[in-house]
Amino acid sequence: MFRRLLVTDLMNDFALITFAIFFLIFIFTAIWALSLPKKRVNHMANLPLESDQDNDEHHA
Amino acid sequence: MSTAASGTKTIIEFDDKVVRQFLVATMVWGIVGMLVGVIIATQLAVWQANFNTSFLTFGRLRPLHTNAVIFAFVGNMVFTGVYYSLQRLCKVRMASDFLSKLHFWGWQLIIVAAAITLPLGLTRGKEYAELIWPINIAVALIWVVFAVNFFWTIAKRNEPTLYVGIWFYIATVITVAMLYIVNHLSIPTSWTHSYPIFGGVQDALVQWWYGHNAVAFFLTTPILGIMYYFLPKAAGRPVYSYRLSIVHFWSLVFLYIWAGPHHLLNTALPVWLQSLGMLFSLMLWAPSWAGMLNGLLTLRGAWHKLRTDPVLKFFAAAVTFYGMATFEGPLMSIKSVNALSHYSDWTVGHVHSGALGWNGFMTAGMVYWLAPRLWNRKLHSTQLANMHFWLGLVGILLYVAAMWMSGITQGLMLSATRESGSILAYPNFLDAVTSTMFLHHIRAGGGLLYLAGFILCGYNLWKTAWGAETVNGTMEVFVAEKRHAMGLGRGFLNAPVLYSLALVAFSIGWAALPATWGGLCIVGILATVMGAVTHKEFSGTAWSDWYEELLANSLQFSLLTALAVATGGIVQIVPTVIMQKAGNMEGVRQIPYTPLELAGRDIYVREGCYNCHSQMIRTLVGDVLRYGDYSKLGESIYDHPYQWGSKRTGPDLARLGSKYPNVWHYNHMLDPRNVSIGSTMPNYPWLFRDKTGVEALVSKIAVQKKLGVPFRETTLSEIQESCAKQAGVIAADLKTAGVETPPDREIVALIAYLQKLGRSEPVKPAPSAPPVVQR
Repeated sequence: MFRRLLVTDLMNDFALITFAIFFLIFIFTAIWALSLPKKRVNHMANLPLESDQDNDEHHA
Repeated sequence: MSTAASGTKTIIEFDDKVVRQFLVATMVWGIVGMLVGVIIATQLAVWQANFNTSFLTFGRLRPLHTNAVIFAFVGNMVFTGVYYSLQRLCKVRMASDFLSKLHFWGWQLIIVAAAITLPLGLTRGKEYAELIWPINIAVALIWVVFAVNFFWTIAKRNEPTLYVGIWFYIATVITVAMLYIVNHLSIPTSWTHSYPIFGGVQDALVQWWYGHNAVAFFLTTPILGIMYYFLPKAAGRPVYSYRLSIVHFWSLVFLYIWAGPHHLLNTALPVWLQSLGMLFSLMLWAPSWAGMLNGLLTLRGAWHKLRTDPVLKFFAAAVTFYGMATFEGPLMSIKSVNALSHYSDWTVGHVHSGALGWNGFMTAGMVYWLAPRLWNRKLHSTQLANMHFWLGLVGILLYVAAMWMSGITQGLMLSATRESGSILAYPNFLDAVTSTMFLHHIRAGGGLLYLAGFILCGYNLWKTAWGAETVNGTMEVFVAEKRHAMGLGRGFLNAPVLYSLALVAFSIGWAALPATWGGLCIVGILATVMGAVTHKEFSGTAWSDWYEELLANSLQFSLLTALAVATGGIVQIVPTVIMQKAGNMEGVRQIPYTPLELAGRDIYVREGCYNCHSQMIRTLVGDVLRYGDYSKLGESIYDHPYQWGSKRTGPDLARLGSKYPNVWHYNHMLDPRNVSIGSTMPNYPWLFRDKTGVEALVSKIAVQKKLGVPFRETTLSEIQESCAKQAGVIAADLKTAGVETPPDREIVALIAYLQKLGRSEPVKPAPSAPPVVQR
């Protein structure tokens, strides 16, 4: 059990494995983010800007 | 604004009272926490500031400072931001006013309990996890109250989409709960004392899995959520790239959980874990800077406002400090850089560029933006707010620059050798202390300036709020009649999740199982990938639809996030917990403590000696020449809690035993300057007055035995007899050296423990035991 972790030189491959996993996740997320419809992205991006009824402006 | 397909229009009033309460608590505890910080910074420069009292010594106040700043100051700030933004982003009032109140008052009571118990020396002896077990249970319960209220509010929301800021909050709520519970698993010995169930290397690994991720998920992710809400608000424009914020979230959350072992580089921790920690830390740089750039670029076209608007000034500086700290962190995780920076003031400087620059300035920006809206009155003085900014900025720069210089000086001096690396260039540890002393004065001054800025902020807010009419925000919303719910089954039993789970399981199998099974796992990985591609190709379904649906169903989203985060922890911790046990140790194994030594060790933990002294000799030339052979895993295997430490204000103590005579320790604890001229260590006069609590050892030893530590003595009479015998020998030895002390005093127990440090015996592995690499 855990022979590869504790005895063999698996750590030599860690650089490649960790980078590959991260890169895959990064690519998948990036593709998904880029493929989102523009209208939806704009809606989400503007969510914080919706003000309370009592307008924020006069406090600034 | 998008609305539900059918629904009614209504006006809702937000619960802003709880936001105001958390804001006031943020300011009060912030100033208290920073004040304690200035006091302990002064103590490191002027030892007399310890005042010879137990409750004001550095070892007891430093945990108070860290806990106050992390959980009281930043904690209350996070709750302020979450309660304000969550209601508005979900377009709904908090689900339960009662739970909000319970959360607020429960959290403040916990802080008060911490402020009382830590100076009394009631501690678990693990950094940022010092609070005693009854308070731990209270923290867990109050966190659950917050989580229930939080998720209930999300479930009741009138806005179908979850903004990216809420994703960051969800990651925080789930991960903090998991980290906190695992790292606080303990068995009580009394109402105020417990031993952690993990010991030695296991405890070290769990501690830094928690410690690092406390920084990640308590001091970073919730503040990023706050940044993504308040920065666009203050700049009056949406975030620079919402698409980038999505990539930022997923890559950050995925990477952070793995980076903990970078706190244990070059130690006895197995090398595979050190490599894993270093590599994930290096990769963290990318998503962190994605967030920083996204924040700074949100200000495009609004930079001119920085001249006049203190809110934007604070936010811009805070995001810049975030970028600086997240560049410095990966840099310090490189093993060779860490060899220089670890245990030195550089780490302290790094932490404070994050805490003062990122957390503190984000807090300031947020409260200056919120106060006029919550109290419906213009900010009392913009000029004072600007003055706060400059005082704070100069304070941070003085602080951080002093710590960089001091840390690098310490690292270089303590590792410097001559004669081809066979002799230390500075054999006296105190050389590194005295030559960086003036920098500690500058650090204390920088901290004082920063505190002064926050006192100005408190005054400014008090003048704004005093006598003003409080106001709760309102919003006109469409209340949807019915929202499509995903169902728990569809959240989990679907192609993307099942294929991902299979991939993770096969990968773990490949790493953990024997070679034949490992080979089969590779076949499994390939088959899963091919199966997934074929399935997607022929089914004609868009998996992104499932993901879109997931984002609108918070329960499924949260459970899957919890699963992903837990996988990281399990992969790192389980092999160590299973394999690195006393019975499996090769080479050397710690000689178990006697009852008196255990009592001495508990005094060592109570006084917070680990705040300044490590017990871990790294695999580095400088360390080995100075302190002896590098530490092995077996040498601390019975230590509950482990005491490897994270900072060397004083020298390492792993092999202190037998180095000096008993009388040296006696004189040293009475006044360290008796034997070490130039030392900044406090005096410990109370150890010479107070008696060792031998009676308490009965339950303590019973718990230690339960945890697998071998003790011969179990009954009170056996323990008393053993203690009296060992204490008598030490007292007699002290007497021959010209010092008379009753053997029942704490100093005798502490000497017994200090003389035991580094004592181990050779062991042969049992024939059936699997081989364990000791690197």
